[in-house]
Parts: sequence; structure tokens; C-alpha cells
Amino acid sequence: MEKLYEILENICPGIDVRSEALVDDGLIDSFDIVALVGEIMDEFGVELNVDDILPENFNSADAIMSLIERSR
Amino acid sequence: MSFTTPTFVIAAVTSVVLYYLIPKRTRPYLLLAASLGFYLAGGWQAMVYLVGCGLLTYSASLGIDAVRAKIEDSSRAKFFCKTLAAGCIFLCFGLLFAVKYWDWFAVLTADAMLKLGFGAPLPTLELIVPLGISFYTFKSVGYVIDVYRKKYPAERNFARHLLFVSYFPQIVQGPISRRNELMDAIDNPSPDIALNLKCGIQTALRGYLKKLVIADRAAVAVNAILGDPEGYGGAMVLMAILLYSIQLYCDFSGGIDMARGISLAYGVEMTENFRRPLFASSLADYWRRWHITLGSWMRDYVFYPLSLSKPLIKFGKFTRKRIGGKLGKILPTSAATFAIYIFIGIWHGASFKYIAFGFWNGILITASLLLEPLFLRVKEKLSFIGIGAWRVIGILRTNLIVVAGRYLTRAATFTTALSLFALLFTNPQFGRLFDGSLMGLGLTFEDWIIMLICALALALFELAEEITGKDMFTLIDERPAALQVAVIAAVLIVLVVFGIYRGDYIASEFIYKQY
Repeated sequence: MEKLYEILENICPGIDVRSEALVDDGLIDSFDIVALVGEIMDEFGVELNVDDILPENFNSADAIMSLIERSR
Repeated sequence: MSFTTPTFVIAAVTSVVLYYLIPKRTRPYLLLAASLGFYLAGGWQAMVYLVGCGLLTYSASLGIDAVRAKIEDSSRAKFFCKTLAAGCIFLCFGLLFAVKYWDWFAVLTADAMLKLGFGAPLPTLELIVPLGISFYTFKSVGYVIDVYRKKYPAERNFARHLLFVSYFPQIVQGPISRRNELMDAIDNPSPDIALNLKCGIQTALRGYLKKLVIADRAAVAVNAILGDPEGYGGAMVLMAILLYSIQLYCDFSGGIDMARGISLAYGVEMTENFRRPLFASSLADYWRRWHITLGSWMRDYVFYPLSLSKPLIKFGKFTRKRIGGKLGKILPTSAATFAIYIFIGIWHGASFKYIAFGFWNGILITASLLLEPLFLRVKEKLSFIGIGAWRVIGILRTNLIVVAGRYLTRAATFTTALSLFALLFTNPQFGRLFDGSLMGLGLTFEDWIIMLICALALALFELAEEITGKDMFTLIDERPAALQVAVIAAVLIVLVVFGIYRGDYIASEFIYKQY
């Protein structure tokens, strides 16, 4: 989880990475999501694709983590 | 049938009355009948395209669901589903290309075809361009992709699917709704009839005011100046482009307000398509506020697939490793962004000016992404300038860029746009702005005053929405009842006196219906 927080902080400096509404509150946008997917695929060695790009999958670090778990 | 004709208003009011008189479960069918009736009023030929698009996307989505249910081997099922979805998208966009772009392409390639020894150029088709074809093609294709992505199952009832494709409030100029959002709203309309009518009427009135009082008047002055740009000079041309920007916003967002208002009267809330673009602080922010549903369509169905495609992912890995830093990270995303704006440009029509419009937006947004670290450093150095002042600077800069881009969309061709812009330096004639020329553009003094007062009132209203974060209904609802009635009565009077009973020299045609 710490690794994911670190990635989020790198991509979107200054946001509250523990927020439960990253997408809903506009803390991350489509550019961030694409960058995030690239980083996640590199760091966690999983294969994500466009079908996974749903707001609910990126709304919180927990949601992103469970997406990573599902993709393993 | 235009939204601004008395026939349409009478038909819309009748449909709202009928809607609340019939049983709830039959209401979607009334909306379907109204939608088909509205479209049929424009001619049966266009109807063939609409129903064809509906049948094609209905069959493809059912096919995708059937393949998933019958074929157990997931890789085979995926192959068939992908083939079905891709085939349907190819046919839908092929049809759109045939009616909107083929003739342009045939003329453009005529010389090349002869030089290449083909004997004759490609034939032109001269097909009619059905009303709103881009809008319903995009939303239908979005639906098929959503079914392919397993976002929701395919619709089994063809009448309901046809209602989604043809829903009349949004067929002329959008918004480009998603199937789940629109059909959920139709299936579960707001039950409070009084509130529906109140919100619907307020929204539609705002739309009619924007269109009939502001946009149509601005169009008269714009057409007069751009009819003789050399004679009026560059400064007046700039004034025309400025007025055209106001006209375009009031025309397009006014049409959307009318559409949303009519739909709200049924209790069906449609997706928002504009969020005060006047107050955008960057060009990227502007595109998040202007024609929102086209932007989000492009994001979900073009930007994400493109950004996450294998070549771009590989490219991203390469740039992160070899270039590194911010540039290495954002280069692939910037490439996808650039492609999106070219696509948006082409969506507007078959002309080099629209491709140039795409380049204009693509280059500026990509450059702003790449130069962001530099801007941040400059901002740090100029720390004596407060946040509020930066916001105002950003808004002014964005509006300047947007107005400059409008030279491209308003001029007849790309080269005309360049020559119109050049006039500002070669033949400005600044004096024409003050010598009474503005009064000789076909509008009376009264027209100018009412147009400017309404445009200013609209801008102030939007400023209040922007500052408070509250929407129009809340802002009006918070006032005492007497003031609410006075505001609505004033809008109605202005609309009747200056919008309906106006001079014959003011025409009324929606700009975006041609898309």
C-alpha cells in the first residue's frame, strides 16, 4: 500500500492520497489516471487495460489496490 | 422542426401534458412516439439513417451478449465480440463518413486520382446530411463499446433502444448521453410534477433568451462585418469574431438549455453539457467546460484506449527510461491528447479549417502540458501576484486564445481565416469602432442595448454560479417568492418583446445542428 501512496504522491503532488473520492472530488483527472496505470503496470507487474478504467476503480487507494489484486 | 418554432413549442407542451395524463409504464413509449414524430417532420430519408443506426447497434450489442452466453472459450468469445463491436463501429462511422466527408474527400483527391492514372476522380455522392447524425452516431457507438466492455447488458427491447438513439430533446445538438444515464433517468423520472415543470420552464426560458435575444442578434452584426471584411477592416473583424464567440456560446448552450428544459419537464434530467466556459482558467479547463459530453466521450472511447494501447504503453516505457523526468512521463499522454484534438476538429466538419482548429487546440494544450514545470517556476518567481490575480490572468488569457481560435471556425475556409486575422495588422481601421459603423450593421440601437444588457446579465449570473458553486435553481430559489416571480416575469417579457416579436431581419438557425 505504501508503494501505491508513493506513486500517487509522485503523480499528483500535494493531494490527499488517502481521500475516498479521488475522482469524484477532481483530485485526479484522466491524465493522472493514464500515468497511474502506466506506473502500476511497471511497479506491480500487472496488466491493466481500458476496461478497468472506471471511476470507481480509481476513487481511493483501497479501490486501486483491489483493482491491482483482481488483475494478478 | 426547430426548437424555436411555435409548432415545436405547442407540440412539446402537448407532449408534456399527455405525459402526465397517461399511465407511468407507457410514458417511455410516448417519448418514443414524440421523438420519431419530431424526426419524421424533417423528412423520411433522414429517418432511414436513424432507424438504420438503431438497428445496427441493437443487433451488434445483442450479438455480443449472445456470443458471451454461448461460447465458453473466453479467448474465442473475446475475438467474436471484438469483431462484432469493431464491425458495428466501422459501419456506423463509415455511414457518417459517407454523408459528411465523402464528397469533400472526392473533390480533394480529384487531381491526385487523375495524376495517379485512375482515369476519373472518385464520384461524389451528394447524400443528405441527416439532422444530428454525429450526435446519435456517437452515442450509439458509445453504447456498443459499453456493452463490449461489460458495463451493462445489451438492451433487448428494440423500442427502448430506439428511444435512447432518437430521444428528441437531444437529437439536434446533444448532449451525447450514455445509455445507462439517459435510460435510468427515463425509467426513474423525478416524481415531483410541480418541481419538474418549474425547473424545466426556468431552464428552457434561459435557453430561449440566449438564443432568440442574444445569439440571433449577434449573428446579424457578425454576418454584416464578415460579408465585407476588407471594407470594415481588421478591428471590426476582431469585433465580429468576439461577437461570434458570444453568438456561438448562446446559440449552442441556449439550444442545450432548451433541450434540458423540455426533458426536465418530463422529470428526465439530462447530462450537463456546459459549465460556464467563460470562466475557464486554461484551454484544457475550457474543454472540460465546453461541450462536456463530447469531451468525455473522446476521453472514454478514444483517449483511454489510445493512451493504454500497446504501442503507446511501450512508447511511455521508452520515454520514462530514456528521457525521464516530467517530459518522459507525459510525452505519450501528450501524443494521445494531440490526436484527440485533431479528432475533435475533424468532428466539426469536412474542411481544412476544422483540421487547423484541431491543430490549434492540440498544439496549445500539448505545449502547456510540456511547459507546465516552467510556468510553475515563473509563478514562484512572481509570488507577489496573488492566487485570485493569477485566476483572472488565466481567464483572460484563455478567452483570448479561444476567441483567436474562432477565426478558424467562423471563416469559410482556412485561408480566409488567415487573411481575416492578417487584416488586424495590414488594414486595422481602428477608427471604424468609434465612427458609428456599429450602428450600420443591420441592428437598431435598441437591438444593441437589449443584446448587451442580456449578455451582461447572463455573464453576471454565471459569475454568481461560479463563485457560490450553486446552480441556477438554487440561486433563484433562495430569493423571496416575489423576487422569483419578478425575475421570471422580466425574462418572459424580454423574450416576448425582443425574442418573439422582433424584426424580420433577425433569422433563427442553430449553428450546431449541421454537425
